[in-house]
Amino acid sequence: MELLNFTDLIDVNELKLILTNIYNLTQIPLTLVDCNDVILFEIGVLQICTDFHVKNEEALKTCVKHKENQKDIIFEQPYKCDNNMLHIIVPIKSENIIIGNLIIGQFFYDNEEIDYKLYIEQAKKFNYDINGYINSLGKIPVFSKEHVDNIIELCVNIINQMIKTNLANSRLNSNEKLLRTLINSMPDIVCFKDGDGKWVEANDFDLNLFGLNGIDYKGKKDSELAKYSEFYKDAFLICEDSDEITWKSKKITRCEEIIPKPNGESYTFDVIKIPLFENNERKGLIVVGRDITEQKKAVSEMFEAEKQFKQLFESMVEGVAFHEIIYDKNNNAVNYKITNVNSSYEKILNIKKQDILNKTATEVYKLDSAPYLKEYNNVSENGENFQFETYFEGMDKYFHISVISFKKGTFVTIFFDVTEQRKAEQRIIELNKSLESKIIALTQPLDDLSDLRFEDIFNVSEIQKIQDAFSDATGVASLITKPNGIPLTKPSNFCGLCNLIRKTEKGLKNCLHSDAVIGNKTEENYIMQPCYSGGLWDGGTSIKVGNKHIANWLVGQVIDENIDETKILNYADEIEADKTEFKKELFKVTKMSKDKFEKICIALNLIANQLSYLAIQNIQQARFIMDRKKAEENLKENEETFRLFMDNLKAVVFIKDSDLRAKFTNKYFYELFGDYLIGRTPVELFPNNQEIALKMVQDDIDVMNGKVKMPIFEKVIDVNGNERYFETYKFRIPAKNGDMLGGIALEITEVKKIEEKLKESRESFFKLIDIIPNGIVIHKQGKIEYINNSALNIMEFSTTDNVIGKNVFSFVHPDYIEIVKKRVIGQKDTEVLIEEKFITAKNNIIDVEVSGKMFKYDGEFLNIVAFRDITERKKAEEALRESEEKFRLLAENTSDIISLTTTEGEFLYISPSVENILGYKQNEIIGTTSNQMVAEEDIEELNLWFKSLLENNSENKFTKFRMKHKNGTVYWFESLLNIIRDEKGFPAYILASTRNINEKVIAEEIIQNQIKELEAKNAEMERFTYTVSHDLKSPLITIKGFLGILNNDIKEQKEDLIQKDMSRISNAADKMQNLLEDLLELSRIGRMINPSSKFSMNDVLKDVVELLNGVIANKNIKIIIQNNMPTVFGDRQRIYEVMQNLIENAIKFIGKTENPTIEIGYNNNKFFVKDNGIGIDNKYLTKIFGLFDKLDKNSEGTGIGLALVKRIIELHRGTVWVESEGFNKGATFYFTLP
Amino acid sequence: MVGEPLFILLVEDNDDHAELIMRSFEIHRIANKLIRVSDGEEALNYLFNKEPFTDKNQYGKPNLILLDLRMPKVDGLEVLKEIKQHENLKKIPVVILTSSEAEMDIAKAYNNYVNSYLVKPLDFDKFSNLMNELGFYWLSWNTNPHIKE
Repeated sequence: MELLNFTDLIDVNELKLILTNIYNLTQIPLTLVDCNDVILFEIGVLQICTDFHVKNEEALKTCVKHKENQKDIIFEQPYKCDNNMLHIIVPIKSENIIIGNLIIGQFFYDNEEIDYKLYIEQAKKFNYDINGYINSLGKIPVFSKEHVDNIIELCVNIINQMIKTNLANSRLNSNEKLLRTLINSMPDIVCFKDGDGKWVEANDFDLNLFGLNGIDYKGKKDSELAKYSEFYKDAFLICEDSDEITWKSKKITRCEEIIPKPNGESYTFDVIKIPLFENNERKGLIVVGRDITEQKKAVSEMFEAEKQFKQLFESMVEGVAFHEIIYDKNNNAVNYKITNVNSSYEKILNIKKQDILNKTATEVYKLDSAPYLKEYNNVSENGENFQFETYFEGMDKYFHISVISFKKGTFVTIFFDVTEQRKAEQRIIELNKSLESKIIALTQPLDDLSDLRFEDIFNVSEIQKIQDAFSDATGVASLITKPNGIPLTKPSNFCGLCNLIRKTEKGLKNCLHSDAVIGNKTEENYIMQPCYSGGLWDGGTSIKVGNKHIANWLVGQVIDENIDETKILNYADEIEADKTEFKKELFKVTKMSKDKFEKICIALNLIANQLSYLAIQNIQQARFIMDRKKAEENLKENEETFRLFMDNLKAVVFIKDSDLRAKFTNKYFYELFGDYLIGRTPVELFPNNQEIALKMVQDDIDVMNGKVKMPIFEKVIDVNGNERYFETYKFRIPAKNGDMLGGIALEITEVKKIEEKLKESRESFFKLIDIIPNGIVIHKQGKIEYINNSALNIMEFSTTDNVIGKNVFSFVHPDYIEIVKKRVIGQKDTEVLIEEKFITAKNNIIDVEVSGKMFKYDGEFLNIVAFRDITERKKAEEALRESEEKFRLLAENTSDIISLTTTEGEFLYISPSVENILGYKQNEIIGTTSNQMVAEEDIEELNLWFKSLLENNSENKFTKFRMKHKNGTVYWFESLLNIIRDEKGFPAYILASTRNINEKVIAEEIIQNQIKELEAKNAEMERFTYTVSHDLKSPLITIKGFLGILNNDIKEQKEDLIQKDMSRISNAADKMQNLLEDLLELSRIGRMINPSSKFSMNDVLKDVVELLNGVIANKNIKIIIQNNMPTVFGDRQRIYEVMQNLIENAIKFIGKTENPTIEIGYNNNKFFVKDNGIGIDNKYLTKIFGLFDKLDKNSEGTGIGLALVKRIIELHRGTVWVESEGFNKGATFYFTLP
Repeated sequence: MVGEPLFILLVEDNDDHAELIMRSFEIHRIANKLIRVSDGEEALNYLFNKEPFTDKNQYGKPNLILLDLRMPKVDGLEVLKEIKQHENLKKIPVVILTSSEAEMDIAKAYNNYVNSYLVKPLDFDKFSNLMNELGFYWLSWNTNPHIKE
């Protein structure tokens, strides 16, 4: 137990008040010093100290108030200090440890002469003013030895009583603290409720969860707590309902409770509720809940993943079976068949999949009817999940079965082995009874005091001691009575006068009347009044527990110093008492002033108040330790009879002769052992327990040899066979006929009992720990001191033997040793749950979630570690991770872009191939939408298509669209989209596989272009054929026709016509030749024979103009050529021909303009040849480029020029066109060359 | 209308060919009036009495149109289309007289409701005979429709 300070054990202020009053009554100086020499309280310090001893350094050094000066002092014996002052030092002890001293003094005994000579010497030695010193010496109070002893006893008794009570209380508090530390260290809900559903105790986790921090939740029901928070209201009400279910079932129930979080999420708890009953009445409810939110989440995510990869099903630890219900003609469910099972199913039930697939339940389980058919059918009909537990007799196993249904007519069973859990619950039930007593103690309200009695709370004989000491110290008579006046204690100092009065009928009547009146009137304070009898002073005060008045403490039988004696003597006549006897006794009655008596009453009131306070403490103590009360009641019965024999002391007192045989024993001894044992040794006292006797004898011998330190603790068996404990002081008494041995033994049985009770309650905590599903280990700096059952199970140990005393590090996985070391050595509480790995006894590595807390116990720091096995959860998470890994590997090793987006188009994942293909890094894409990459012109169409895909329920679709590379280049892509749906069938994600099909598209384009080109060539070919068939035929017709005409004309000798005919024939032949030449030219430009080169357009024009110089000059045309036109890449000869043809064309149609001008230049990426000639009707802007097409049949040429231009420009991948504003407005020919 | 002489509108860009046709008519004594225009544009201007053929008395509707196909500006097929799409003009028999034997030309011509398609023979005797029979057939044997002015 932790070392307690003086101030922890005693209410110093209360003690100061009591000591002050003792001083006021006795005038004896008192000093209270703690074990560190700190003076806690001083009263009545004398002038001799303050004016002389303290002022002299040398004298001060020897002051007895310093501990080092107390070495040779015998406690509680008068001691003269170096300054020759008389003191008595009374040690104040708590469990044998001196925690302080009460120093009584200075004073002189009335039977000792004051040796003035000595003090004069002393004054000289320290240079004191001799007169002053002697004068202050006279102020030192003088008492009889008996008086001083009485004062000491009073003080010691009061202080010891205070310490005992406080000690027990502080230990109880420390036990409460331990319980709180323990339950607070658990990351689970722990809550105790009483039979009415009122909260008794809850751990921090629970309080945090429900936002109850700082709220006085104790004694309130869930429905009352619901009023504190609108947010948790529903959760509380649901809890209350579910509690009710537990009550009604009278069984341990387990359920999942969902508790909302303020951020909109929620916790899921696996809650176990344990109802406690007593005589069929509700007594208490233990709620233990485990946070399984993460577990739940992992599992539900798994379900998602499984849809894609079918992994979960097989990796589930639970057995899973899919079923289809078989209906009869009337659509009644009659059986069901198994459609699929996972490997856990096979493992758990030891059935092979192929043996049962598509077989009916009756076949598989070899039963007459399908088990749980009704329940399963319900689930399938309603879609409401159903859970139950069942016992498989053949396997001796309990299974927890969950039934779910995705679709009517089918259901899925998921089951797992809960045998261990059930067995643990069995253990919990077994331990219930030991828990019950704790619960009752916690739940009994303190205000129920109806059956409370003074004797229940106090050890009457102890109180008697206080009462006796008080009377002896003050000189007043004293008695403690019940509120109705019936005495509880034996009167102390009772004067003979009163006995005389009470012997008469009339006198007794008056006396009892007085006593009762005093008792009734003393509500808060003391009362003081003359008695009804003979003018004696009576006083009293009450002792209470809370509001319950349990006793009166009466003092009195004091005669006022100024009393009229004759008046009292007349009273003797009145009550018909013997007057002579009366007078004799009256003389013996204590006389004092009214003032002094009042002081006594004040002191009495204080002491009584202290007793009242102690009474409350005692009750709390008594309430907690229920069966202690019963034991005490037994004891008290003994003590009642015991008390009759006892005169005053309640300690065992004995004196033994030099042979160590009992010479004297007191009545208490006799009471204790039933034998005075005179002339004999303890060996005879314990015939059945020689061990005790021999120890006593050995102690006696050691004491005589001065070996033993006091006090000695003794356990004895009393006459009733009960074990009793004593603190015994033995001492050697020098005597002529051989030294004797004296001894006083003080009983400490009660303190021992409290200690035992503490031990018991500690054990009950450990029992509590044992039933908690979490592993709990308590260790000191790594050394394991305690391990609970759950921890043993988790760590796969069968007994604690190989665990206790071992180092915790030997169970920690090497990877986590550093983390654990930090926690243990840093002596820090873990603020969050830490995931670690432990190694079990069977060398299995398990995942655990750990929380650690420090607490102080017996003055040492201990670590309490709570942990739970999360291996299963880890496995599920690992499986999920693996399944995701598979997806990732697949995604990352394909050249396509794999992406996962929300239905809004936000990227959740994109494979790294996006960097190669589109230039973006993965993290530049994730979190954005696809719009940034899709080419603007395709966004709208793509979105429309996306939308229709989501609405149309079709699962697989391709689409083609363009996307921009980060560098701006646009490529063609093709996507295959897969809609991933959630459990309800709504689209949740889009899984897309996108492929670059740019080359394919370009190839297609090229093919299309080639087709077009071929078609164009074809058309040209046709046109050529046409030309040949028409235009070449035309001159032939002319020639042949006119040859015929010529023949006629010659016959008819038409001389004038012959010449004309012949010229027509000749012209037609020429025309034909021109046509043939042009055709040849045209066929030549079909092939670009000249290699491409870079050349200056200005140079080309220079050559052209030179060639055409004659015609230009002839028609007086002005040619304007723009300078510095760009250089061109192409076939220079052909481009030359283009320019030649365009300029010739312009010259040909320049018409009769006034200032004929031809302008050649370059503007906006196009070359132009502009004239101000006759212009072209808009109708014919394209026709003029046709082969052999002429607008004017009379114009020169064959109509091939512009066709040629068009042909050449197109071969250079350029375009040519003409613009004209109309007749006589000129024309401009444009062409581009890429 | 009775007694009014039938006349031919010849649309022919090639002067030599036009001369051959007229000389052939002359040889066979076909003395019907013949008006020649030298391209498609001019033909349409004539038929729709546009400049310089605005005088309806002088430039009345022909009873037969001889139409060459390949001509500058507006070619024969376009002229044919215009004629056959016109409520009044479409009744006038149109005979294509061309050197083209291209199937496309023949098909296009008939698709546009041409009344006859004739290919100019190379041999002059045949050419001359064709002109004779053509004139005889369309201007004598054939009963012509009434054309409103």
